[in-house]
Amino acid sequence: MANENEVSIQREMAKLRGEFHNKLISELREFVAYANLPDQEICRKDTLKKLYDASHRLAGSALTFGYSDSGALLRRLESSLDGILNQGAEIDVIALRKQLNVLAPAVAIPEEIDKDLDAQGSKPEEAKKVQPRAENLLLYVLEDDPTTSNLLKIGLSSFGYYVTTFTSIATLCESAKKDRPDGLIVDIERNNIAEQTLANTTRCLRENGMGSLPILVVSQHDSFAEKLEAARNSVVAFHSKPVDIPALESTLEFVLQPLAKSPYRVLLVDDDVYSMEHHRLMLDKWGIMAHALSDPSKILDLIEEFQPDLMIFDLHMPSCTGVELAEVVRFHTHWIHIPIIFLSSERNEGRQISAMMTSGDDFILKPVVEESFVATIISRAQRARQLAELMTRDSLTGLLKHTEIKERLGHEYARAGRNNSIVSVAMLDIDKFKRVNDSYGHQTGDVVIATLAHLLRRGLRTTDIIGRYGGEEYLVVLPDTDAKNAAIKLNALRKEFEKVKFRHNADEFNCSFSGGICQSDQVNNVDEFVDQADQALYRAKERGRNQIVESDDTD
Amino acid sequence: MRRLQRIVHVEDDDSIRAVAKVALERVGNFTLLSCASGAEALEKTEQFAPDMILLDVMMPGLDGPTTLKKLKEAMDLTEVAIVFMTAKVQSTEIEYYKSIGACNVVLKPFDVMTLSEQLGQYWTEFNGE
Repeated sequence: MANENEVSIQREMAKLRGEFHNKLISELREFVAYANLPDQEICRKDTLKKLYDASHRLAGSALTFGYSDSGALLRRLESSLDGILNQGAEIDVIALRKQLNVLAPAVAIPEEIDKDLDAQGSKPEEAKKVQPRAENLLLYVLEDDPTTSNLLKIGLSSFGYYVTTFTSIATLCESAKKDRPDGLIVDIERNNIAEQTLANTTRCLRENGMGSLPILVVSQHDSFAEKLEAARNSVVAFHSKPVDIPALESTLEFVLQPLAKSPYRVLLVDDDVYSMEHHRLMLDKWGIMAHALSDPSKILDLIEEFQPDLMIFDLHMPSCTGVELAEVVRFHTHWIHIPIIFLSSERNEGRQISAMMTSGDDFILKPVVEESFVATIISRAQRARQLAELMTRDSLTGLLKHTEIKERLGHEYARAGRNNSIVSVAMLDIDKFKRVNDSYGHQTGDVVIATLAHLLRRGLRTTDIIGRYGGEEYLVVLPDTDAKNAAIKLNALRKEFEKVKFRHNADEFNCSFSGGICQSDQVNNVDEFVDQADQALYRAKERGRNQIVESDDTD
Repeated sequence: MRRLQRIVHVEDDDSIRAVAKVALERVGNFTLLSCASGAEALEKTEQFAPDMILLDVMMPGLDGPTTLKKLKEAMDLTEVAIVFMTAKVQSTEIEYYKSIGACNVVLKPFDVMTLSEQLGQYWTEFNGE
């Protein structure tokens, strides 16, 4: 086909895509509007039918235009409605509302935007990703060096990823048509001349509809120039060879586990309840959980309880100014990572405040413009969450660090006391770990540690809290769970763990862990709580390891 | 073998119709009749005398299979290649569409640049190659 013709076709497509984008946004808004209807309205058969037809139609066109995220969400909605309308499934209004609510226009992110020849520099801000498959993510590795390729396959498989390796981009793209991966790892110094440069590789991936997937690069080199090249090609992570598998795994965890897993939490403080409610609703519409507070003096307890990702203070309040309030909050250094944004209606004041701002992070003028207001909040909240994660998480396992897990345990213990509920704590330790390190080296030891972390995270509930307590020691907090049930759960994970085969060169070996559990109503304070779990762990080790012991089992 | 030239596309979503128009007219250089519903197709197909009919499966009102049935009652389709378009991928369904007279199925979402080529292949198969 003549090149000119191709360009004009691409132009036409770009135009259609632009038109469709607007249509998609307005239709997504309509879906969200349905979520606000009263129960009996939503459950009416003609409403459901209407939604069913609409979701089917829009899913089809969204996918045709490369909007894979909204397309997938619409398909899910379509299939739930199909269940209700055609297969006699019961209506779960709450679930249905949720499915409608996630269709906020924020999910309208095209994956092929770069393909538009005339869309210069119009990349969407930070594409907010919708959650991929929760576990067993599929990774494609593009690598023609068999040693590295094997290392990646074996190493990442032991972390629970499905890994498929490819030596050429053509076979990779072919396979992606059948089974779309969740992420890509690309060696940029492959031998094939034709696809040598990173720009060529990423362009090829985009052309095959994989433009929105996170691309991680491994490289022989570690120079600034290489990294710049990677950044220019929208690569999300850069690792130099030889690849450090645990480090790569924690990067993967970071880029693949969506940060928008739970909605962003924003604390609004404003004495003018009308203006505050206006802002709250605006954020709410975009899926941001906003809490409104009109009395600044209550803020400290509220931060503790609500755990916001970001705070917005009005500058002018009768009891104290926004700046003063920010100073007070900043006395608490462990909240230092939470961004504070000021709101004011006076333009000049904004300049002055921005110039001398030490406690705040940004300044927004009232009346706010919805789209840019929400965009600012989302991008700041996202960044803040990333930083908070890095601050509180252990880099090898992605679990909470020692001080953080102890603090969380304290919270949960206190909460159980207040609510008259029960929380259990478990102390786990990998058996004979020193021997692993001595015989196979620290790198293999790290794989074992990270594997157990991965297993725990996957096997426990999202409400359970997991921390790396020491070298090969883990602390798990299980709210609303007694010791007996905690033991059942951990025993199941123990059996799973002992089956995992680890490899070092030609050797294969297995590991196990022991655990001690204590439940909160058997102790008087949090120190005793940990201590009892620790003693139970000690007994588990004494009794021959690879077992879980409850603290009241003292025979 | 006759050349594939005239195609009827039946699809309720106007965005997808517009994309298919680019794919078939601009990329494939085919002569296209675009219909927004099964009813419209029933009205216009016979006069258009197509080589191929591309039918969306799920449409409000007359769905793809029903439209096909009615078209068959109204005119002779033995020389016309019937292709369904669907997002569903189970092989049993594809078999079903074939059993009611389709020669093949295009999976949605389709690729603008390669749709014509794909239909070309189906056309060759239809003509017994």
